[in-house]
Amino acid sequence: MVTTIKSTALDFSNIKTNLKTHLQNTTEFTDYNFEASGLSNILDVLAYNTHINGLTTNFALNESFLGTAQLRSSVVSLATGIGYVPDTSTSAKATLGVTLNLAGLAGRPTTVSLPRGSRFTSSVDDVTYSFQTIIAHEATDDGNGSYIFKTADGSSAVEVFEGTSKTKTFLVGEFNEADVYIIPDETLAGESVLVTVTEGDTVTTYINITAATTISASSLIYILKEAPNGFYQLSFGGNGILGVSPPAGSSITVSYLSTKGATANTAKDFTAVDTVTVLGSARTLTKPTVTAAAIAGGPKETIESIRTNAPFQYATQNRMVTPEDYTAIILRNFSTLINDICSWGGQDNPEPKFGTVFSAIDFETDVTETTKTATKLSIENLVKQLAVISFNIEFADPVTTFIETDVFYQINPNLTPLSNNAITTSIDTIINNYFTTNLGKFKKAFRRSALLTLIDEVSSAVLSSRAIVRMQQEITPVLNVFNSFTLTYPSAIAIPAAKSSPGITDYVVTSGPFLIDGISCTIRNEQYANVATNKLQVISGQDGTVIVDNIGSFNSVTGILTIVAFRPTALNTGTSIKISVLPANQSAIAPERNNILRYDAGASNIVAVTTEADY
Amino acid sequence: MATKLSTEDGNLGISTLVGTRTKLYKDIDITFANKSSGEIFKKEDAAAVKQAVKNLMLTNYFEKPFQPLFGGNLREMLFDLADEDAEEDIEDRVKNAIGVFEPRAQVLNVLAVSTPDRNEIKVTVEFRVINTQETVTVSTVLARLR
Repeated sequence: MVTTIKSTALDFSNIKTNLKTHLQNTTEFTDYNFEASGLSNILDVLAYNTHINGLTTNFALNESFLGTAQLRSSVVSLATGIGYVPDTSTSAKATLGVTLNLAGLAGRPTTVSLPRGSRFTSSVDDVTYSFQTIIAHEATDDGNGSYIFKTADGSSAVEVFEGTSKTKTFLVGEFNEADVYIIPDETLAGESVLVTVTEGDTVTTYINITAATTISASSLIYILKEAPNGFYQLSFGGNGILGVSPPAGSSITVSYLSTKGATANTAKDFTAVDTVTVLGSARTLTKPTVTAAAIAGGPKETIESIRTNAPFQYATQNRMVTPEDYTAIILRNFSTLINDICSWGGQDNPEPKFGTVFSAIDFETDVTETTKTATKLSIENLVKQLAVISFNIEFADPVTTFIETDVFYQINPNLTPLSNNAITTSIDTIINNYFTTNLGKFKKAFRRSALLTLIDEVSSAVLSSRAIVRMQQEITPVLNVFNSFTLTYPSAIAIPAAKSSPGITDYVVTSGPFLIDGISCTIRNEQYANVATNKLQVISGQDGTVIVDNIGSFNSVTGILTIVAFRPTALNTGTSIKISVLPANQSAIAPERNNILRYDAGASNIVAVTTEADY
Repeated sequence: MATKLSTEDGNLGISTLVGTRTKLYKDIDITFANKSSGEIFKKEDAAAVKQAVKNLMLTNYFEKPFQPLFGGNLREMLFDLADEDAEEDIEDRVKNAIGVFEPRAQVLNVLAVSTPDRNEIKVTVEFRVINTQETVTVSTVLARLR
């Protein structure tokens, strides 16, 4: 018998029922069951109060944990509590070549400066965006009056960031450790923030605590974090441990860019807005050349991203020890450029290399080679600062293995008003969606049964389905010379099975067509009546004769396929040849390390097999 | 001849048959008037049902938690024209509300009388408490507070 209120029953009607159950055991009042009675009104009040209190407590508890919090302010606060600073909005960043031509100008200076905040404009979809530099650049006369602006480390890549320049000035009153300075802007780009403190004639620049590798009582650092209302708050250590606090009477100036985020990405045609003053006159910059179009602009870090990344970041403690630390810290610093990343220790490499951590980075599609190189250099510098032991980092390029599927499905046309072509189109869409959703990243496995389940659900007229799966990689040979390739497939390769009269589908290795001395050929493993080996041969597409008997082999267990002394004279299409192999396990292909699986729709087939069966 | 009952039926033979309804209606007095001892009054039997009917009439939709359609919802008619249709509408609403939410009352008659000059409508409900012969009348005046 329930005589007390269950604290776990938060539903209003449950609470009220519990109260009624309690009253059933008393004789004082009996009208609790009549909804119009005064007693029922009292029970309503009591139950509603308990209900609201229960819900409030439930909400409060949910908001207390990173895994369950729903409000952004709670997630940000909890992440901040474990030392994770959520990303601010990021400006789209373009890399330009900026020059000034002063040829013929008498008495021209040796060096010219391009200050922070020099503006450039560009348009995306007919919307004009303002970009600007966030550091100063210097240019030196090349002797002919041409000045190429460069960074302090000598690079001529001038980075410009999208956004509107804003400045906030705070006057420091009597010192108080709890002072925080609010920047009422939700679209502040953290990378562009410059904090200076002016005391008399002295201007001191402070750096962000996230960029500091060591902190002492005299460090000039500031802390910038998201406030509960989405704005940003600036604070300083000031307690003699976390650095110097601005003295009373000084003024704090915060300069930053307020960005429009991802909308300015892809901007690639820039015009200089500001001029450079030389010998007292304004000089117009030459139209900038674009080294890399604008990329990496984006909104604030999302709640789900914070929820995922904060615990990993906490686990790393801002130090690079385990491969996961490398992944977490690289992501923290370069997340806008990276689609996916995977790191592993050298001891786990196919060819062990101790003292090295390997990172495979799958960059976003719009990231240029120049930016990739610069990013990898930045990561190496980061590793030097944060690695606990003297580990090296090596970058392994992502290896994309394409999956080809030959799908056969049984269909009874009487069970659907749709044509076979329409069903095939639906299945094609389903397959593409499956690969887009589930693959395309590191450590994402292909499961044939999951795919076939989706295909079976396309229509009740689809009675069954099966699929033959192949793994495919590409080689890009140089024509008319001997080429060697080593392909490492992410899964074991099938062992060739000897058959009395083998068909085309019995070959474990097949390739796309190419020409040798005018003859169309393909590469296949050796296979003829009652013989099947791991040896690779070049076979004529015209009569099936062997053109080159041994151009390599494959190891079924390791999945490594080797091609040697391969000399094609022409290719049918493109510049590469697809090499497809049957996996030993058709059911699942689970890539490791730097392998990524993607779908090759062009090399895949869908075949409808009509049947009269209706169940 | 003496009537005997089995041991399982206990003292059923000596209980007195007093009617079909053996349990009193006992409700709290919603006015919270208190006795000199500090305790609040109770409403019992017909008085309890009468209080419930009045309470029901004066409750509007969405007032009772999680029962949005509970009540007579007479306030909704506050700015309607005070004509015969309004009186009829009020009578229907009261009858319907009692029929749905107050099973202890059987409505005998509902009378709404409009007094436009005084900006009020007097509603009189005559009902019988179920399982008794007792007829009860509730009257209330619907008027704007200001």
